Amino acid sequence: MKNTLKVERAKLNLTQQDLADKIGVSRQTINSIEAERYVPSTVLSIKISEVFKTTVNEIFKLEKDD
Amino acid sequence: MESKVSKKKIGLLPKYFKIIGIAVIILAFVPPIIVKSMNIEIIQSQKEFFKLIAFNFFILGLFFIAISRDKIEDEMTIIIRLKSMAFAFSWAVLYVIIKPFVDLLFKDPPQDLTGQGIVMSMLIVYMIIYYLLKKGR
Repeated sequence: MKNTLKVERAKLNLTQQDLADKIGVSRQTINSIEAERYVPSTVLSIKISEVFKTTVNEIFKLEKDD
Repeated sequence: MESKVSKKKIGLLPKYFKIIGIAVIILAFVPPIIVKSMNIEIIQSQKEFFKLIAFNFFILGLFFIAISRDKIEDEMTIIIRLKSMAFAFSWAVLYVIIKPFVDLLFKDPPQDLTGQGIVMSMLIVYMIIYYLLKKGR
């Protein structure tokens, strides 16, 4: 699964730690999501989309092999 | 910092249990150290009793450390815990199968498998894998 988390974060000028604090996870978790090593749960995905005031589908996109 | 999801789903002990665990492990080594350092004469049955107590305290200490919360407990740490537990379980199965053969080859006579030994090795493997996966994320 692809994501545009890094881009969205850059738009709001947020650091990984800022985003992590806003949604109640560790900075390492944000880093893993950005590096596409970890796919977040639905709850976390919605929390992330709420921070960026957009939809989950705008941030997370399925790839062909998903 | 902790999400409601991780709070609801798994029953972990509070963070301070890590310190309690370390204290319990230290406590496990106190009686043997006292007996050795003061040259106290003890009979075989007492020796076995002290060994049993020391092992049990050591396992309890490891258990407290293993299942206490981290500073930041989120859904990713839950997944890491799950992976570590699965690895530790697989380790225990292989340990039980392979150890008797290793003992047959290298030890004379082969030692019996004990529940304490298996549980202890599982806890140690769990903590090593958990630490490595956490560092590598």
